[in-house]
Order: sequence, then C-alpha cells, then structure tokens
Amino acid sequence: MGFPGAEASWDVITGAMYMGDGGAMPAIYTLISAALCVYALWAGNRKEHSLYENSK
Amino acid sequence: MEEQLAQLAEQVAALQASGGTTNTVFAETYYYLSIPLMILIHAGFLAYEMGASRMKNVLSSGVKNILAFAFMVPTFYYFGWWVYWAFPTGIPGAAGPNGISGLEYANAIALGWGESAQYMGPNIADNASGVFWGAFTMFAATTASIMSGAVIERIQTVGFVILAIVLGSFAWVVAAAWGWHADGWMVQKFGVHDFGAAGLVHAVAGFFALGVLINLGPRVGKFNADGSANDIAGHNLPLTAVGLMLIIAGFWGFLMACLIVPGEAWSWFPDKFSSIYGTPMTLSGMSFNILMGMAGGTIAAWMTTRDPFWMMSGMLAGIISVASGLDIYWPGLAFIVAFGAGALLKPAAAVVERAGIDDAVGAVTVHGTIGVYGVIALGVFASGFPSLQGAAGDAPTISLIGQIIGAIVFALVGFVPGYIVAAILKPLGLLRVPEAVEIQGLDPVKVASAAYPEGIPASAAPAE
Repeated sequence: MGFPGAEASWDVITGAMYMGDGGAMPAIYTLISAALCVYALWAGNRKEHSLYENSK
Repeated sequence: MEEQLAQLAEQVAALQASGGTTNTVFAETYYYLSIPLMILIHAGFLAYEMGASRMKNVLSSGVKNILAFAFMVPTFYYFGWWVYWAFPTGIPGAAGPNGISGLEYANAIALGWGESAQYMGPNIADNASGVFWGAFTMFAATTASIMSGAVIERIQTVGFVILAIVLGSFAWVVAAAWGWHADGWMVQKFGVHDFGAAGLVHAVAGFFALGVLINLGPRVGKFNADGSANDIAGHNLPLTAVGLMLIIAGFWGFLMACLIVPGEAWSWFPDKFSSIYGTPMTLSGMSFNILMGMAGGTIAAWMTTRDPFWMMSGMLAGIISVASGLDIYWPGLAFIVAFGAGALLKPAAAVVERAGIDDAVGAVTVHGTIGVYGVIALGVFASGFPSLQGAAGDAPTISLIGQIIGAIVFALVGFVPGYIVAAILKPLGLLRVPEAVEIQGLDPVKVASAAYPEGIPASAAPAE
C-alpha cells in the first residue's frame, strides 16, 4: 500500500495513482466489496422474511 | 531566421498542446455532466413509482427504487462493463473488425484487478474510462428502473434487486454489445441502428418486465373472477406526473451520453460528433427530433385519453419511438412517428391488461411495445442509410428486415432472462410478498418510517 511512485512526489506519477497500484490490494478490495454486496442481499432477505413472519 | 522559425515551431506546439488539453477537458466534462442529468431519471422514477403506489406501499416502492440504483453501480463495475466489451461479436467473445471488442480486449480494460485496474480507477493519463463507465452505469440503472415500476406493491425487495441486477448489469448489456457497438454482430451483419437505445434499453427492459410479471402475478384485487380488471389508482397522480417530467429532463443527459465527442484519440472524427456506431451527427439535429418527438407523443395521448398520466407517458413514448433515429429523422417525420406512438399507448396497454397482466405503470407498453415500434419504424423510413463508416458497398445499411430482426432480438434478450430468473425465484420464495402482507400494506410491515405520519387532510367542504 502507500504511495504508488518510487518516491513521494507527484512528479513521478504519469499514470495510475490509486492506493495499491501494482499490487494485489486493488483486487482484494474489489473482491471484498463484492462480498459485501452478496452479504447485504443475504442478510436483507433474512430480515425481510423475518418481518413477514412477525406480521402474522 | 532559424531562431525565429524555432520560436514559431515552439509556439505552434504550445498552441496544439493547449488545444488538445481544452478538448480533453471538454470531453471529460461532457460525459461527467451527463451523469447527474441521468440521475434526474432516477429522481423521476422514484417520484413516479411512489405516486403510483397506494399510501400503504409508498415507501416500500421508494426503497426498491433506491436499492436498484445502489446495486447497479457496483455490479456494473464488477462485470457489466466487462460484458459490454467482451461480447459484441457474440459468444465466445472473439475480437471484432474494429479491434475494440472481445474477451482479450475486455480483460485488458474492464476488470477491477490486474493490469486492467489502471483503467478502472484514478489515472492521471486517463480522462475517459471513468466518465464512460459512469454514463453506462446510469444507462444500466435506467434500464433496471424501467422494470421497477411494473412490479410495485407485491414484489419482495431482495428478489427485485436480484432481477434488477440481471437486467441492468447483464441483459441489456448483452443487447448493447450486439446492437450498440461498432463491432456488434447485429450492426455488422444486419445494419441494425438504434442510436438512442429504443430497443436495447427500452424494449429489453419492457419485455424483461413482462417475463417477470407473468411469474409475479397481479396485485390482490386487480382482476375480478370474470377476468375484468379494476383500476388500482396510485395515491398521488401529481407526484407521478412530476416524476415523469423529471424522467423527460433526465433523458437529455441519457441521449447526450449516446454521442461520441470529436477530437480525442478514441473519437471517430477529429472535428464532429458521431453516434456510438461512428456515423456523423450533431447535438443540434438531435435537439430538433427529441422535442418534436416529445410533442407528438403528448398530443396524441391527450387526444386519445385526456388523462395526464397517459399524456406524460405519451411524452416519454414519443421520445422512445424516435430514439433509434434521433440522428437522422426529419423533425416533421419524428413528430408523426411519435404521434403514432402516443396513439398506440392506451390500446396496447389494454391488450396487456386483457391478457391478465398487471403492469402497474404501463412499463411493458411504454418501453416494450413502443421500443419495438421505434426500432421497426426506423427500418421503414431510413432504409439505405449507412449504419457504419466505410465506402459505399462496404458499410452495412439500415433496412426494414434488419430492424425487425433487431427488434425481435432485443425483445427476446429482455423477455427470456426476465421470465427464467423470475421462475427460479418464485419457488424459492423470493419473488412475491405473502398475501396477508400485501393486503395489510408493505410499508407498515417492512419500512421503518411512515410516508405521511400526520395523514393527508382532505379538501375543506365548500361553504353552504
């Protein structure tokens, strides 16, 4: 992680400038964010069905 | 003398660099501003659907709409954008003749990891990828929202979100890859032309909604035992009408984002706008036709219904009906085609209702039927126009047969996944809310706040 350039200066940046450029972290973050979406759907569905049950 | 020439060359180079920077910033800003304009479409759908819901379901309809938007963004980031670039030539994703499609190309530019990650995040040398992705994400969210209105008041929230993801981040993207890309097989083989996405967004979404509605079934009380239909009025027609007008305003952002600006390395021309197919056009010409389409659809709907809901739907249908050819219609003809669409609305909606389909906002008609009508109408009037760049005889041309094939493919790309995914969700208990909940109202059961905690006071009685 950290600054993607060899030294901490914007002068060396000519392309990608995000955190983790060139490493594995962007892929890991992407994967985690996707997992959060899947979890949100799973948990949301559970909650929704419990509300239906409670309304009986 | 040599020194002066060198100075002159320096000045020319500086001017060229300055002009290039201005053009790049213009292009980036152009697409960036189309994004908030398209968010107006979602503000419109939100108001439209909440107004079309009864008071007991208002917020539940709103929650569904907000979530469709929210889930479309990450899913289009994860795979929707990749699908658009991977499959223009069909499956398995071979490269097309323009070299801007296929699995290898998509892997290089549209994945959020590996080497392609440089195009999917901040990059000081890339002023285009993010704004293009953003605009396409808004197209995706629009497509999902079209289906959203049809299914209000009885669909489960998570089941709906799953359907929205399938439609917005996959189904319409496949249609766009095939028919809205210079390498698309429908364009290359049949000359399909759908500049403003009448088929690949509206028909796909409308027929996807139809596939869902068949599985979902009508709202309780919609149909009587003899098959006759009851009108289930929404609680706030003014809100619905304003929502529709917001959608119309947002359409200007949608349609401006359908153009390719000139002068960039990825542009089709150095000096003029083009359609996404690389055919020349102007914002100016499109403006004539959007406005004439809006007017034609509205006036016809007023004549045939006298109902503000259908008049506003007529305005939307007017634009959709001419969207395929907004780049080349003659404004008078655009008015006539849109007038036909406005007149077609009510009878087409009646056919859907007679078939036992409860489409709460007329989405199947306004987007599905009129989308197909618009794609085919262009084939009637624009046959012979080149649908791609190239010398006469080399470039495919627009034809009635090609547009009919396009319309059929768009309808199927919508209907088939909509029907299948809804049919899978149904036995899993993820599609429809329990009947008791539907009768009680969705808001009191599953929404944490009340739409009108103090009620809505009725008008005072007139003085005696």
